[in-house]
Amino acid sequence: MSFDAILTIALDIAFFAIFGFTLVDYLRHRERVRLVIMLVFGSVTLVLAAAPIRAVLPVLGPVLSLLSLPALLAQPVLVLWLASFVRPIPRRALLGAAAAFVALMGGVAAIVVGGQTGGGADGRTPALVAIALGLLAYFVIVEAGAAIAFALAARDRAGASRSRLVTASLATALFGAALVIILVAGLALPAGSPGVDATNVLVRVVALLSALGYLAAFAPPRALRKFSQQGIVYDFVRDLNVLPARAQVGQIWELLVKAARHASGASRVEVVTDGETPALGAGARRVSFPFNSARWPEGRLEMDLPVNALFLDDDLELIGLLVDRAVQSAEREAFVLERESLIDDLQAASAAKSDFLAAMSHELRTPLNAIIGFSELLAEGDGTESDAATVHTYAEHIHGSGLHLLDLVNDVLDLARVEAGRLDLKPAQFPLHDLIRQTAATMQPLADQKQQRLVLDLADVTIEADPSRVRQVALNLLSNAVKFTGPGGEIRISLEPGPRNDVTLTVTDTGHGIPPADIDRIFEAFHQADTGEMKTRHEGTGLGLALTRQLVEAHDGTIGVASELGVGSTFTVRLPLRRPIEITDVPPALPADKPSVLVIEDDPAAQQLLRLHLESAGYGVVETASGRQALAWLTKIRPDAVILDIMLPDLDGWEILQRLKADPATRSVPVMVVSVVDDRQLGLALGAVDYLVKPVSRDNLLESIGRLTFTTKVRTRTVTVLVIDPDQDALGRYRQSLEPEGFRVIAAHDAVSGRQRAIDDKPDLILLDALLPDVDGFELTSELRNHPATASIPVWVTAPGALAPDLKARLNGNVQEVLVRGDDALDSLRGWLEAGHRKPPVAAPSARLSTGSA
Amino acid sequence: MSDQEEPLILAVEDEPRNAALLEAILTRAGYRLHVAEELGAARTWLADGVPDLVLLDRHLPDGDGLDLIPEIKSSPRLSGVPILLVSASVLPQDVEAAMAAGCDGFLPKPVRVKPLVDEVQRLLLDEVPGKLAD
Repeated sequence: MSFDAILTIALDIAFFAIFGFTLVDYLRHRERVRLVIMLVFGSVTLVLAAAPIRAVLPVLGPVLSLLSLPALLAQPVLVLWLASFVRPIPRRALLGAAAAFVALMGGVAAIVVGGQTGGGADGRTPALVAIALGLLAYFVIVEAGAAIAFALAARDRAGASRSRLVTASLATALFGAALVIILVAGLALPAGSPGVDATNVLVRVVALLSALGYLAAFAPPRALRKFSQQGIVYDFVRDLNVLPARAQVGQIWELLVKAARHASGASRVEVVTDGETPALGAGARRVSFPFNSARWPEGRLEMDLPVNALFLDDDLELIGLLVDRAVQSAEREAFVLERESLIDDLQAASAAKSDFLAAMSHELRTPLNAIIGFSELLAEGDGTESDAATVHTYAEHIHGSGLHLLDLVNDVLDLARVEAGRLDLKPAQFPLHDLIRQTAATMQPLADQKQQRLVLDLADVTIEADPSRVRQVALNLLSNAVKFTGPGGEIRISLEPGPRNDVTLTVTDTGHGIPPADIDRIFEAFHQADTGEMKTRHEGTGLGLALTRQLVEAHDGTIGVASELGVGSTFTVRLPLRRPIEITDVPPALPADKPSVLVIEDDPAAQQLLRLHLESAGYGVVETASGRQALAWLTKIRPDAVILDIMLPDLDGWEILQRLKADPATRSVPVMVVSVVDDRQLGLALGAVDYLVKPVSRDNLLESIGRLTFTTKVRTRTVTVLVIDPDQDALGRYRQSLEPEGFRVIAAHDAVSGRQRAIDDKPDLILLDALLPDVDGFELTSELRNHPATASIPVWVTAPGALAPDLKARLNGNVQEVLVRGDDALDSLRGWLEAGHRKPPVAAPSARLSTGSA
Repeated sequence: MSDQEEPLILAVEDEPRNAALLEAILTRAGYRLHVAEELGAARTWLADGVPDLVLLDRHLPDGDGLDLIPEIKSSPRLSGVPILLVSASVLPQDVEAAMAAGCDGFLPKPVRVKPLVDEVQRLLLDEVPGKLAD
């Protein structure tokens, strides 16, 4: 067998193989891009197959000749089309190539037909030469265009897809070259010249190389793919490793996104670590790579890929590898960061403990110095100390230092107690000005010693607080002031009532002042150890200001300081007039058998009055003086109405109102403001249903709260009516009548499902047909009455006509009203829903049944 | 130091009881004592007075006692005055800071009678201030 023949067979086999592979691939996936690939190789294969088939089946010869020419000419157009999937190619270029194909086909056909009729000797007519030149230009331009498109696409990609695109580009160029050689040889060489054989060999070699290239690009062996992927993964891991120490996990994701985008040419790549799913880009295909990580259970890489992307499988496999590497690296990084932050925390805690111990050591040594020193002098007494006065003085010093030591120990215990939340306040009512005056008096001798003036400016203020704790606060501030003010200075203590049921105590000294750098930390226990000035400030008390702040805050007060170096400092303590309210998590039980009102009011007298009025009218009342408490309760209980004061000790009423209306869980509770603050506009704007200015008469209060009926509820939330009626028409009538007015109508057709809906949906009203198919309406009403979930829902029974007295008796006490069917009935129902509870609940005979509706 | 008069010690100590203690111990040991409760008062006194020794506390209302040491040591008039630091800050780094600042002796609080008297005596007799014997 000649070399030429072997080449021919190899070439045939290579293209047959590619065609087979791409055909199977297309049949398996049925995508347009795969169809085009199959067609590209199908056309070439057809041309190549013509000779062997003709040898076996000569009868097919003419058909094959007829088909192989268009197939050969179509190949460049098909390749260009294929290239347009990986790199946008102008539509005009594609259409131009197609037009050239058609024109050349026409030309060639004309020559063939003309050749048969004319039958020229050597066949080289000018027309033939023109067609041949046209073909040459067509092959060169279109194949080169496709090759360039592949090459440009390769530039933007990575990994296997990149090498495959490069190979495809080269193969296309080679194929074009083979075609060009055939043409040029046909034009330049006379038939039968020795150059023809050599040219044939050259063409086959070039075409075989092209076939191998296409094989590698479109049907690559697995090892080849792996090889190119390894390189990318290796580079990625290297990039991960050279991230700076303590790199944030985010940087790893950034790197992953970059690598994934590079490897796939995806229009968008995103790392998602929570449940959020980014929107899909137009014309894109979403591919998701889950992280498979316990740390990020929802974590994944999301990519939007072009719908017809070429070589996608390779890309996806590669990206899967990159994701795995990135997640491993991120997990390691996150673990390291966590550990480091834990170590930092531990070190800070340890440093704080060391600081505390150092400070404690210092604080304890100061009084111990006097105790040990003076007692030693007494014990070693050499006669000088036998003087009674001296002994007495020494004993006094020891005693005083002992007391100081005791104070210190108590401070430490208090602070620990406050920080553990176990400080018991023993509140009492007392005149605060007297307590301050007494405290100042105890400081007077020390002030006198330093020739300081204590100036008191005290308004009369009675406060409810723990007197011993308030004394501690005052004493600490005063002794600090005396201590840090030089001889001849002045200390001004003032007490004035504040605007919001509070009082402000200010202590102003003319001392050294506190450096601005330290002023934020002055209330921290022992956090001052690093600056001399702060050590100074805490000398003697050590924990004093930290404890002072804790005590003030335990009373729901605030403490602040303003200071100027060399001028002095002003400490300002604001305390609420009333004792701090203990916030409990457990709300009081609402009365089950009557409408309930939560009263938020801090003035005991006003609270008592409201309770009196409301209870006399049949309402159940729960009350609190604290806005915080009310907010905490309202997450758990649902009173029928809230009465809200504006001036409250902790939160003001405006804020409570805003918070209630901002929270979907509490928005529907009607709030009525009852306050001395006259700002109806603001109240209503913030969502109050009514606004009463104190003093409020009983009648006004009850009328206003009575107005909080279903109609009010309709404005604030949907009122649901459950219709239990087997008759579809009846249901339709209820819907027609009620839904336009904003009521929600739900339905059940028998007693069993009706009861279940009542329990599940807790409607505001149940309309019950007396004659149900399964259980009779009478039995159902008593069941509803006895079930805790439905006991308070008013029930209206509808009957076809007037009920017999004995049936009515059975319903008595269980239903709100009996409606006889008819248009009047609907009107009266609507009327009741809208006006319902203008009358005080207790006054009406049916009041016991109307619970839950106020 | 005059032979006729008892040595004069300037004690810078703000805590009244501790000042009283220093006074009790040192007057009994035969010294005269002047107490300054703040750095400011000490500076004022030192402006025209020359003590035989300075007893210095660290945590003073108007600053750190250590700040006074270089002021004394750099003054030609006062540079020979030995300084004994008596402080409740006794951690190793506190003692190091005191030594670095240039004090001549250090006694931790609570002070004992005999060590205080001995140390004062040693510093007063020491011809070369600035040098610590053990």
